[in-house]
Amino acid sequence: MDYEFHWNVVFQNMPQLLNGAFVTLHVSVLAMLLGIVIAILLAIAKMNNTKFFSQVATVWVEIARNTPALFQIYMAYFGLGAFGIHLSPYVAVLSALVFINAGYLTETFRGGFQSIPSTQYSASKSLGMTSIQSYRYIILPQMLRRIYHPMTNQFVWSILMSSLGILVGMSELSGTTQRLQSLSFRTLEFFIVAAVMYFIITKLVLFGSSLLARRLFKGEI
Amino acid sequence: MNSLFTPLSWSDSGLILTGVWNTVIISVVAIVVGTLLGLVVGFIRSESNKVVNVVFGGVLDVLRSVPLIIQLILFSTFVGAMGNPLAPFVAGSIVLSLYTMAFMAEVFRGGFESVSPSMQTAARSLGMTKWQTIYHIRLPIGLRAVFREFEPTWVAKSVSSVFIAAALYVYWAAQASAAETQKRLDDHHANPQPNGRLKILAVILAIASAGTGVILWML
Repeated sequence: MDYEFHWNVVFQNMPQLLNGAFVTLHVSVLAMLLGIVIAILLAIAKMNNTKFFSQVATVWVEIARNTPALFQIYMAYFGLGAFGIHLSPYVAVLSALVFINAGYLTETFRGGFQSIPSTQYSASKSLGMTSIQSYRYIILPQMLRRIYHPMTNQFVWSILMSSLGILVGMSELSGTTQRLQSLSFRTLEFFIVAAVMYFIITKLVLFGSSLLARRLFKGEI
Repeated sequence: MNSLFTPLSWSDSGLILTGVWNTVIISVVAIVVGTLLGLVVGFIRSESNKVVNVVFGGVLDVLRSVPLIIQLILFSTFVGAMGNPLAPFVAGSIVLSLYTMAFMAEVFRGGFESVSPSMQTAARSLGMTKWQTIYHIRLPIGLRAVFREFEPTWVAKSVSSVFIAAALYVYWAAQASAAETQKRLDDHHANPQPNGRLKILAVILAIASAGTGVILWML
């Protein structure tokens, strides 16, 4: 092996890499929050009896789940760009991630909601609870317990998928890495550091979510 | 804006079909090789002691929590730096197979561990040897538990990331020629590509990824 590692340039550019890591975290948190909001609406639409709403939701879910994230980011950046809608790389990646997250989370929410037997609702009504009370105290807590881990999983996926921002010149962790390595020609060093940083981010997110789960569910999950 | 779409003609369809064919081939390779490796690694993980498990678990953890692009770029640059660069297609196949393995290993391990120990004890008490127990009891029952939850849609999705290995190959070649040009310090060698050609390239790439998306959706 006649390759010499030069780590100096990586350490000099560490602030930029950390900044990129922050952008990665930032975009995936934002995509997750917006995705949850849209997914709740889509899940309600999908369970609706009106055919139009449920079909719109189905089409969204099927497109989001069955096309690659790469393709969706391309469409948001180059596809819309060809029609004169020029999004910044950040907005393009964010909107693609929101689209994907909403699609996946819709199915998670719908599955979680339908896994609660309707007898629970009837029982809480027979105890004298109002409709809002029975959702607040009976249905939603049980549902959150079941969808918590799929949601964490989706969050990790959106962190990993945000690395595709490298393609449209977004300055998140992998995009910054790509730019810095093309300035310095130290490809291997920069990408090793990026891989380590992604690993740490993912592990921190999983650790945080398990702490939160322990607080929220008091160990009964 | 209208002129952007004119360069695309029917003669480009060969290019797209080649991409579709590569996608199918690389998916099949990744699924088959990844599943077989995952079977082996999952079996080893469910059989062996804590030390081996920590080592295997760490490697699988890294494979699962680093984005696929980073893995593809790291692998193809690493083998390049070692002195024997691989074609993007080969590098992509290897990385995707390992990535599939990382997920399948956990699935298989779960399946093997779902076979209750008392059933294995019963098999041993009937006079089966250890390997007979594995072959006749653990593998069939474990695999039945596994294949109910087998859903490889994400493999096909990840395949499109191979585009990036190809792009990296282009970057690498561009870097090589740029370095070459610098070495000569000759202005006449630095001919920029005409704008139109780059535009055509961008359109072809965009359409190819759209086509890949459509095909993947149909899979």
